[in-house]
Amino acid sequence: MSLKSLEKLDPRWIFLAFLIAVSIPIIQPLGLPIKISDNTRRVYQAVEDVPDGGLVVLTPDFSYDNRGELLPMLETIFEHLLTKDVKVVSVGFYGAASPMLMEEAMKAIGLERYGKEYGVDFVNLGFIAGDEPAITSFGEDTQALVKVDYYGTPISQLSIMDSLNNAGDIDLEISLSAGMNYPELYLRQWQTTFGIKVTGGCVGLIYAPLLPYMESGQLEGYLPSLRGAAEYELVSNRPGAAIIGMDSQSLVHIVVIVAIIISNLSMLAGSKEKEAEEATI
Amino acid sequence: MNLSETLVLLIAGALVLMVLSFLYRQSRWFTFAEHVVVGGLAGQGTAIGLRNVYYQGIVPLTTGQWWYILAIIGGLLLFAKYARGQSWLVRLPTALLVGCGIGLNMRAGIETQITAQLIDTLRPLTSINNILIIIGVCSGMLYFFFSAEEKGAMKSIGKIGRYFLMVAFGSSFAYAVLGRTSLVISRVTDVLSYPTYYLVPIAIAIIIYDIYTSRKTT
Amino acid sequence: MSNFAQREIPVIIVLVTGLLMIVPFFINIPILADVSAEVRRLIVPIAAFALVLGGVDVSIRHINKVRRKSSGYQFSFVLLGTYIFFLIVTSMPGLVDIYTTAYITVIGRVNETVFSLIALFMASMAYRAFKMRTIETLLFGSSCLLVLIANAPIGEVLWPGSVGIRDWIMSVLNMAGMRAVGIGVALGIFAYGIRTMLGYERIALGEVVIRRKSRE
Repeated sequence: MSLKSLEKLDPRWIFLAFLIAVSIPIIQPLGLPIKISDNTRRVYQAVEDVPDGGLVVLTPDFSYDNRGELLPMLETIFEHLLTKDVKVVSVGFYGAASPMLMEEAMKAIGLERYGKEYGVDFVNLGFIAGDEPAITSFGEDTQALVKVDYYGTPISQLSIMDSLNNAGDIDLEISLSAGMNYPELYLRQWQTTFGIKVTGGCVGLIYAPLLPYMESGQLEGYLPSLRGAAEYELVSNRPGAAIIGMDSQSLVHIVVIVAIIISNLSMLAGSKEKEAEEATI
Repeated sequence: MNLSETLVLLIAGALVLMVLSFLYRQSRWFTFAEHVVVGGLAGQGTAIGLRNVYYQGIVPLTTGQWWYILAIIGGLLLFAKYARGQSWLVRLPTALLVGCGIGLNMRAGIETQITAQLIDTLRPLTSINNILIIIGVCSGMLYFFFSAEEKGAMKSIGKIGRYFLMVAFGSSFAYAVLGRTSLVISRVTDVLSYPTYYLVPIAIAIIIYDIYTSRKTT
Repeated sequence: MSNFAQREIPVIIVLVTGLLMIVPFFINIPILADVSAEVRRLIVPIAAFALVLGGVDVSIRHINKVRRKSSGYQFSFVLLGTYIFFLIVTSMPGLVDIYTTAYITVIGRVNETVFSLIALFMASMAYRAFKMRTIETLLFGSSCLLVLIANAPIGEVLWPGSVGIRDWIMSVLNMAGMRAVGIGVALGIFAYGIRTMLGYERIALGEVVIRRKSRE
């Protein structure tokens, strides 16, 4: 097998290498160290800076197709919030599965472990259709838009909702986004009008385009995918699923890097052979 | 773990392996699993949509806010696409949604996406990084200026902009790999846990049998 | 209704609604602000109807597929079966446990698996397409490689300097490029929005313009 022949390698060999790279650390963890970035510390500090008695709105703007990327992040940030004396309101604008993911995180962590009570310290308002108009309406007059929570309980029976009339009452908005425009929606409709702080995390695909907002200070940092979740688990001293997944990330990255290098070497080998053939002709 | 939970997990595991079989080749297994998931998502979406219509549309109507009948009519007009000759009525609620979206985007988008970004770009020229940022942003924006012909200085500056964009897209791709790999990790972790790991040797055996029979026929 | 009215009434609605969203934001007219806020709340049930429409449309397509016995119609039975099952269990308050189990354990996992295939295809695409023949592809490939190395914990161990290089690439070069794209996109959306409000762009309203080549 020459380098040139690798140009036409069956992609299924790459899939196999990828799956083996993912599987090995799951069976035998490697325990590689993870460095915490300034960006993650910035997000952590934004959560820490929420004053006692403050109100945080946590929006899981993702669905089950991005569960593996953002659910560990949701769990670790939610757990951090539960250790503080803050109220957490969760609402979904992205899709119908958002409140289910919040419920999954809530059940995995357990409100009682931190002495919190549903309806007093935390509420899941479910999914509200409408994207930007819904976000704008929520920010302008929450009580006029939201009638019941995810379980059908009227919000008048939930004391936590007494402190949320509009986005001006929010101390921090945490958006875990799978869609590029979602952080922009909160910046446009809540931050522009009410000046609230926005932070959170996102899928890897949209992290790079959001960097300009982090640099300009509009976003108080943003966590990138599983790596961001792993760093957050480390900085908040709550190791979880994200740290475990990073070993597999290491091996997969090596597979992709090696694939790119081999592909370019085979291209070079092929072009050298072609040059040699043309020279003899 | 009781029997019903184990059974549900085995069904889920089987469907997951059917989807992963696409990596080997497209087959009826994958198409079956695909139709299960699409049907499930569509059914759930319909039910959640109806729930939203009830709480956000019908409940306000019953509490005296009569103008919500306009929202109900508007929503029902969306179904006019199935009415022969009257499908143009769909454009009315669509126009409302589009107008609202455009207005909300434009009113605050200027400050968030343009002004704030330009202000941050105009940094003091005291460091190489700041100079690079100004050059990158200006040349990148000029690259997208398609109304003027690309020649002379425009062409050179546009080329520099393209270089900055290529670096940006390359790093973006690297983060996309990071992100999507997390999903594979999550799935493989699931497949390698109880009780799904019992299905893995069966799946491998089916693939090996398929490779053997396809080689025999060729 | 006349063709003119069918085409122009939607454009008028876009213009009026758009102005209703923009004007109260800049000029304080209390009654206009109240009407604007109420219109936004009216959008929510309409958008919810759109969700319902999506699900209904999928089921109608597959019912038609079964009726016509088109290719692969047997799978449409599977789709319609799961559609009806989830429509019922999601709607009924008493079936919440079945809904949660069925959705999270089955649909959620399978849905995630479909999206996870993208990662594998990205790896295969990186192998086949990332051939650094020109300056642009060299820059693309190099920045991708450097960031990949730094993002992996093993990369930080093998080459500690990669983290600093990645942070510089992301906060300077990538940021500049992405900011240019972001501002360009925002300007484009702004221009497209104005054109739509004035009726020059009608594709968003579902109007498709077919230009016939003139026969000479």
